[in-house]
Amino acid sequence: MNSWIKKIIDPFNRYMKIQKAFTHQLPTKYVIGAMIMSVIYTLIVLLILILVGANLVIFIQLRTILVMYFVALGVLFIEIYENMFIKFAVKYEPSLSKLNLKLMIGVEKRLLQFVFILIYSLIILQLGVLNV
Amino acid sequence: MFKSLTKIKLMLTIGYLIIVSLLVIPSRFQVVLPGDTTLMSDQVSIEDHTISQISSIYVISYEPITLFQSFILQITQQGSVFSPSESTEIMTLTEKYNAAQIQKQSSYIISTIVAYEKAQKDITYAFDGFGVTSLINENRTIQIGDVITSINGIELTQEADFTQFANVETLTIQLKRNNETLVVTHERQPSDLPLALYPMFTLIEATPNITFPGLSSTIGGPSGGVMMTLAIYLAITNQVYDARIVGTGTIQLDGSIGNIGGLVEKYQTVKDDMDIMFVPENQIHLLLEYDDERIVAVSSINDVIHYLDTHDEFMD
Repeated sequence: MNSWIKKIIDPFNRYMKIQKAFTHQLPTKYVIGAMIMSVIYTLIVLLILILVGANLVIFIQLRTILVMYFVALGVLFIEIYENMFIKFAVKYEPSLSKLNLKLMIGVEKRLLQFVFILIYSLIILQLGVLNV
Repeated sequence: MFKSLTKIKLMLTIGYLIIVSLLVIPSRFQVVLPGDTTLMSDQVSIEDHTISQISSIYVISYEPITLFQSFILQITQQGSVFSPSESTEIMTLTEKYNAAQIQKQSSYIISTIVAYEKAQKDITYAFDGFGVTSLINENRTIQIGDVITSINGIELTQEADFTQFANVETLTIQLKRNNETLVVTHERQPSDLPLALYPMFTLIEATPNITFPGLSSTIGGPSGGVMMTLAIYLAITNQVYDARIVGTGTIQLDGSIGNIGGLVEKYQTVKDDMDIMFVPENQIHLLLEYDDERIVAVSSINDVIHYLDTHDEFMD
């Protein structure tokens, strides 16, 4: 196999292995528990920043800045959420700490952030917020 | 050590809750802030005719504002903060939105009638009744969007005189609601609020053909009437202006221009990007402090057209 293809496929295979082991070791109820706890924690951390943005929406001249602000908040939300998710998951199932969770979380964070930005951009383009 | 850590945590939590409260607790105030312009060419389309670069202006009306917003508005000295009227307080957000859309619809059709008749073009229309855009009381016997066609057996015309019902205790009102004809009875109470009504018309035929793509936009209200009338009139008389013409004011069937809200905020919205701004003559005193020669006070659509006719430097 070409080395550059290997360079792409190897980490992906490793990610899949860790992901499989992760879901195998952690029962579904703990996965859901960790997700809920992470969302609540992230919301508490970012609540003031989210509310400040929402309060400033009345100033129409700030709309472009606010769009970028909310994109940044979204990316930050995923960053905090993913880190907390792993923390809570390890708390529920300590044996998970043996897995290379750094790689798994890294891949998932980037994927989620990419999808978030894509969806957000599509919504903005649809609404024409930046074109007004 | 442990105790002081708990104390710090408690203080941080209280501080956090205070900040969140300031950001979410609503005050009793409403704010009107500078908004943006609406290009008439996006609002109306006339077969084989070009719409000039004419815009109406909208402002952002928001209620209730939070304590944080109130603080920011005071620091930045932006917008007008005031207590909402009793009639708007009892309306839900959806009702307010619907009321603004009815006002816009009424305004656009009246603009078309006025412009076509002034340009002596063919237009046929029918009067439907009066659209309700405010509530008498919280009972909602008469609802936002109802079209009143007769009161106490007297069929309403577009020139209806409502003072004849001023001292009548019981009103038997015939109205159209969601394509159904209903008769409702309203017993007058001293606490009743004044009813806001807008004449509603159906456009049967117009040559050249006219459509309103802007009716589906979320921006509502009647204040675009005068600019819509001007845009249609100039288009069907084949006049194209190159200038950035903006303005605000309601339009009546006789061509007169009525007052609007948020005039100062509307001026602030466009002051850096306009050549002429038409405003209702009755409200010009609100803008005198700006001493801006581009502001033109007008009382009817004839005044607007006359001004443009005598200032051909704006012609394309």
